[in-house]
Amino acid sequence: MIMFEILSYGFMQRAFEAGLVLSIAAPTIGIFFVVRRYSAMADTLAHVSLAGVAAGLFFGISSVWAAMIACIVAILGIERIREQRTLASDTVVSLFLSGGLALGVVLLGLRTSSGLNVTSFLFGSVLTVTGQEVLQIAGLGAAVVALTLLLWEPFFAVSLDEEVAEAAGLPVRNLNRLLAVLGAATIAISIHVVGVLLIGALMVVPVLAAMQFRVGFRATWAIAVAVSAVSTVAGLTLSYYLNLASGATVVLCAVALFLLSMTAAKLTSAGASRTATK
Amino acid sequence: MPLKNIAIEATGLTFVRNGEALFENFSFAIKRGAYVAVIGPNGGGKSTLLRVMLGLLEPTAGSVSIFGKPCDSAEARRRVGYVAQRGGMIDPSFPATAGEVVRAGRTQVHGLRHGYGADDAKAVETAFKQTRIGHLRDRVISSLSGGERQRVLLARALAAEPDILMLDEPIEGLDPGSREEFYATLRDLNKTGKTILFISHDVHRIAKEATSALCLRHELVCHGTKACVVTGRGMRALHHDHGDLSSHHGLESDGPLGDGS
Repeated sequence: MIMFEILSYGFMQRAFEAGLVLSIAAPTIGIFFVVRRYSAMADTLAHVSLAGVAAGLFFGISSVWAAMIACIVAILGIERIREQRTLASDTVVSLFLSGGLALGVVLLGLRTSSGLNVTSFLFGSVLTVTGQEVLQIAGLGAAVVALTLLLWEPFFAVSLDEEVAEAAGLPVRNLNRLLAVLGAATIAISIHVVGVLLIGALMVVPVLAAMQFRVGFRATWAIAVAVSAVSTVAGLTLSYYLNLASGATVVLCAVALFLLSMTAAKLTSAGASRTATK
Repeated sequence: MPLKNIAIEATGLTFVRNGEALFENFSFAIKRGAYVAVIGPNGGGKSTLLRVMLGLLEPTAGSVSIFGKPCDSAEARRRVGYVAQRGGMIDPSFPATAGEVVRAGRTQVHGLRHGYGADDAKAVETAFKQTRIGHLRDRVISSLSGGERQRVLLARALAAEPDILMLDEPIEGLDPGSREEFYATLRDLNKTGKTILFISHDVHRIAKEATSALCLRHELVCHGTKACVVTGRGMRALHHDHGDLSSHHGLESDGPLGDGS
């Protein structure tokens, strides 16, 4: 009954549509970021996307495309500096994270006089998503999921062991770039839903929750998508009834499910040990 | 020797890193079906040589061919299975079952193409049988012992149905039982015609398994039957402080094998 009431509002319908697309796309690409220990990269791209959004406002480009372009420029920049080997990898990533956020805030600050709400980009504003934006999110989200599933085996092989994958003839460097671009696209579509400061969490936390069950890669992905979808639906519903910030509530629900998974995994493991010693 | 009997041929191979030659201008040939032990002291260039043969590193000079094709060509890569050094292996917390890891070996055949058919399933099944780990297929790799994990990685390499197997110290750190199982599996694979290149520090043990040996110490110290390497210049290169160990082993020195012959 509660769900029917919420769904009678157009803005909530659009929020659920956008949120559910993201809840599938984020862990689909997020699982590869987590196993490759790219979580910091996800956060960096998210922060850089803010600079893209701000630049997009100046040039009249859609925030989704502008964020994606900024992320791709950042990916290429990070890779270029890493190749020169003058700075450590994590230092390069931190540089882009801080620089991207600072540039974004400054550029957005220049536009605040026109009534722009900066926090909507930082923390999302899924309740104000338009029908056209939902279509954009759905199109890009579907492309991210379809491409990732199509290249699932090569991505998996490269994540497992880069050197062996390269020896096997896989184009490791290009696959890594494509993975980063797909991550950028996921971040771009998430700006309206959870905002740039929280998307990293939505890509990573459901995967961490799923990993607690210690099952195979595909099963981990399926559980992560389920955790993400449940967090989205629960988060949006709670935020509507309790008048909470929607993006942050979605992420908090994911964190709660992670804690629940961790506890359940520990209890199961302790139970199994007791059975084994009897 | 007819060219078709040569699995690997290195010509004038030199590799220089930071101005220092890891090895310089050496040539050798390895017959199809050979079981070659690659031995030498730490830093002698063994792993670098393997990476050059796998097409992962470009030599400063010279070339390597696999069944007559450049080692970095798609045709050559398709015929080589690689089991990496134990230290550089998969993160044990990686959420994957043994079955998923072995199946990943088929990407060597498919590349970026999508699809997994009956041929793939058959190749994976054969790899499980050859390594005797069919019972582990649904187990996550974090729950496997070191020896079981190494056999999963061997099965992954075999899933691509390679003609040559290159192994970089795959048994380091394993218990004696797991080592023997690993050696037994390789022995069986060699009997089926697979060419094997095995980097090992356990010279005495690998000498019992291999049919020939390559000894590296910044140069190709010797290359030939294992007797040549284990009893002669090879052992002197490995234990240059301990004199000639030939008498200790009581084996005759032999001439080089291959070398484009």
